[in-house]
Amino acid sequence: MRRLRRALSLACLVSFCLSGLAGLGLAAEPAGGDREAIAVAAQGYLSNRESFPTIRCRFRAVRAKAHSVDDAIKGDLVGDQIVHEGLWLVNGAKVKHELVCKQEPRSLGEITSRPKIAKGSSEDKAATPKAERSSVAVPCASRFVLRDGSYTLTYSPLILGANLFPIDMKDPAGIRLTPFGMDIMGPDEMVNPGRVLQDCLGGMFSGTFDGAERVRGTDTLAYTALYKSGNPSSVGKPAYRFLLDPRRGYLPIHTWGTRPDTAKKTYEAYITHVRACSRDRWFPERSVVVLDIGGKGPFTVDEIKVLELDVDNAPLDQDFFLSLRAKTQVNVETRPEWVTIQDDERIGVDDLPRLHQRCIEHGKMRTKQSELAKPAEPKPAPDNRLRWIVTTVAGCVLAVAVVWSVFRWRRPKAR
Amino acid sequence: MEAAEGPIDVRRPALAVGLVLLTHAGLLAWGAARHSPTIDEVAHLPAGIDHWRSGRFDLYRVNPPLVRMLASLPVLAASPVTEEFRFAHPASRAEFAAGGAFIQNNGPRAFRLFLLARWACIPLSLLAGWVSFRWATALYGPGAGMLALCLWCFGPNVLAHGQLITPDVGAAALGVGASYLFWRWLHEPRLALAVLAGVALGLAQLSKTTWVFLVVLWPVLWLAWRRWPGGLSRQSSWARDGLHVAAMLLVALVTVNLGYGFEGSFRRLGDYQFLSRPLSGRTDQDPRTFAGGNRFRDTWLGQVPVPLPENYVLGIDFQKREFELERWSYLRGEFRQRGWWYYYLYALAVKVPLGTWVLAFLALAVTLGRSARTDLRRDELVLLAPAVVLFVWVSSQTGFSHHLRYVLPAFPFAAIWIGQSARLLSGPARPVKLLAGAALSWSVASSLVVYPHSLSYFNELTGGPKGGHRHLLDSNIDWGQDLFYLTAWLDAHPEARPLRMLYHGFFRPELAGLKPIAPPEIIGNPGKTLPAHRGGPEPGWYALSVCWMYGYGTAGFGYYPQYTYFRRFQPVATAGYSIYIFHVTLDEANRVRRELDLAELDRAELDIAELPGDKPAAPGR
Repeated sequence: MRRLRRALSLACLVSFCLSGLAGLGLAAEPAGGDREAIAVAAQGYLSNRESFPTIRCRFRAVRAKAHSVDDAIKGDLVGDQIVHEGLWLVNGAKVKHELVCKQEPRSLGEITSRPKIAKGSSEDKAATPKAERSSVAVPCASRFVLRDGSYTLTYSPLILGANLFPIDMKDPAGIRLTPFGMDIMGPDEMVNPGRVLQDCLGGMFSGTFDGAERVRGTDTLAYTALYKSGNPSSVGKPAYRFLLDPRRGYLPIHTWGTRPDTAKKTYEAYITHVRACSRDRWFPERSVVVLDIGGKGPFTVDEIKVLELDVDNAPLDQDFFLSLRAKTQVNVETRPEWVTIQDDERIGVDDLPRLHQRCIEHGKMRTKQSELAKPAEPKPAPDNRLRWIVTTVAGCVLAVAVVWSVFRWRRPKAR
Repeated sequence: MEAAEGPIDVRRPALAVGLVLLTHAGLLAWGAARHSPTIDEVAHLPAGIDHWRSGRFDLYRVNPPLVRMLASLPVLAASPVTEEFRFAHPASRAEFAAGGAFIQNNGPRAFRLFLLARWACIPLSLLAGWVSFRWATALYGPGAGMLALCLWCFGPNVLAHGQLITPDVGAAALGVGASYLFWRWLHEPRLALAVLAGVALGLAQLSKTTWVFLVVLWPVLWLAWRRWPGGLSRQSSWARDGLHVAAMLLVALVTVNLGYGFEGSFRRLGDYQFLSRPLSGRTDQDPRTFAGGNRFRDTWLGQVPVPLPENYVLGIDFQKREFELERWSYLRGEFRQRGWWYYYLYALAVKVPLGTWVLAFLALAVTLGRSARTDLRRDELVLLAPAVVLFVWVSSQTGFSHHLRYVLPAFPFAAIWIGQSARLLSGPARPVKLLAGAALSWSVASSLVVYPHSLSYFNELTGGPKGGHRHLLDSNIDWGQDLFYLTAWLDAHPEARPLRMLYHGFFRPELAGLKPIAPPEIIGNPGKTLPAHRGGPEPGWYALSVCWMYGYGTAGFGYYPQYTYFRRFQPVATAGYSIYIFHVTLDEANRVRRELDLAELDRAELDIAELPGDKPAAPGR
């Protein structure tokens, strides 16, 4: 009886989605049932995702190991943990994203000042490849991002480096690790379920609607995006699979993705807890991403847990800032525009155009200093004797000519 | 006199002429002593000294050396401290680095050295006045001569630039002098006059490269003169006159080379490193970073030796490149990164006294109303052609538009031509006589009322110097000349401290007893909400050069809007007409902060010992 009721409710849900499709006008073109269902799901996911114009979210991301997927979902993590404390502020186009690594060394000096290696040991300089000698292992690094509608500033305190991306440049790394993106959806959630499903409709992938499926007690609708091009051995195999919860903003309760070259599964992700927000909006509260899923385990696991969330009150303008440490170099990549911050400085989101101007001016100044103002090579003193002889002679001749001319010019008048 | 009859006797008005010239010299000398060195002067003087000391002419090569060498001659006797600056990049302006070092090294006596140099240039302005008088007298009579002389000697733009170590007035003097001698030669084609005209042409080339077109224009004018009915004098023959013209150009060439001490003369064209597009063959490279090229290098022309000094050729190339940079320019409230073809017309409209304009229209009426006497028309062609060509040429360079002074060399020609309106002063029509007299008085009075701030002169159409910044900036109003006036104002107002200031110029405010601490700027985009501590208006005393109030960076190298908010305040005084002094109270600061959507300041949070009172300071200059 319970099964029947569940099946009926799922059927109702699917019918409801399909009927809603007509209302949305998305079924203008004749298409199969899969196509319509995919369109509804894409719209559903994106509607919920885009219904958060303001976010104030504090979260924690933990990377550790788990013996199995179930353990990961349960939170039974083993081994060393790398913890990032995250802060994600959004107010329209203004974004601030922090990932502060607890285990980050204060500076590169801490990790590079290793004890001297005894001569003749296995780590003798002569015996160690150069590339290996110069590379250092960093347990984790903090990263900060500040954006307005035009500029993006990314900052890594460990290397005292910041990159500024003006409106005509794009930050290639983007923001990846958020409760929505889970570090599996690429830069700025470029491959979120909504977009992938839209790509299925657009022809980049083949999409299938696989019907209802129950995931750990949650009724979901299953969709698969299949490779349509690329490596021939991958074509027709699944690229992504999404199990979306239509009652909770079509959030991907379970999703997995594969490598394009081998079509082998690389991760599985689960949203285990969802927070109901005002105006029927849904926010992922806890998610687990299991990496290296092809092996036997233990697996690498990323657990992302929301600690504080406010999606109803916009963060204050003065919250959108980054504190750059003294000696941080701000670069506009690929351009001769940079500046080194002399003292600790707080850069607000409204300061970004000015910061860019400082980079331009400093770059110009240094370019001038290094190129224009490079002292000239000392020239060997030319032999000026001939020059002065010629000048003297010509000067005398000209002086005589002028005197003669004045005399001649005045002479008739004198008469 | 009618031109073809030779010069008239000018002894009678000699006393008046002497008096006017003496007054002119006095005005220039006094003005020079009152003003701080302007932007270009800072570089001209050490460059001139360097020419004398090193025999090299690469510093300030964009302008020929004659005027600054003349200026620096008396300074050499005072043994100034100089440093040698040579930069490798052909586009570098080492003369400005040399200027900074010159001021630094000579300390408080630096200004006295500048003053000596300025005074040394005054004879050039007197020369221009005298030639204007002579030529106008010869063309239109003694009254015209006196009028032309007055227009030159009391013209605000002449009074402004005649007291500086810049080449503009020198170029005007030598250009009109050369043209006068050429005109005399056309009347009396004698070798002696040809030689003198050639020397004068060479000197004009040594004052400013703008006159380079004369070497083409003169032969053209000679041909036109000969073709003109009655153009042949009894003595003239094609062959002999042609030889004279050739001699003129040859003598001019020798003079130019002599002026540069034959430095780099006869260098092969292919050996030059050019920067401008037409000479370098540059196509799509950024002119700011382009290190040089030569389109002739692999052609037969590349083997041809250039009979000109190397730095004269490179100066012309550099000048051309400067106009290719498309710098920020300002005209009537609009900023843009290139100039306007009508900039100089507009500048003349607002910077020339209205009385002079009235006289110009009267002169036009006289010209049109005159019977078609071909000899005078022919003379006027020779008179006006250099001015018109110069004006059109300069106007066609629209890479940037900054300075009316670029057309200053055309002024004496215009003054001579306007001089003919003096006929109306002695004419029978009383209203016209009154009008002409009133126009002359208005012109002179309008200029002298503003003196010694002649650099900031604007005519009554714009509301005078106080309204000038709405129309033009840079050397037309604010070229860094008023530092000493600011010092004097501060001495008279001890309450106006601490004073934060922003000065548009290269002279060191410290040498004028000032501490250059910049006012708070607005960081970020005005109009967006910013935390209070991120800049913006604060209470206090401020002095800002008017260029900064418009965001106009030095020489148009940038647009800096972070101080433009000062235009929302009412100044309590001005130093000259180029530095505005503000007394911002907390209420006023908060009013502007509200207008700019900035967080307001709280009196309790302000980290200053004493807020300026609400009582405004007495206005004054």
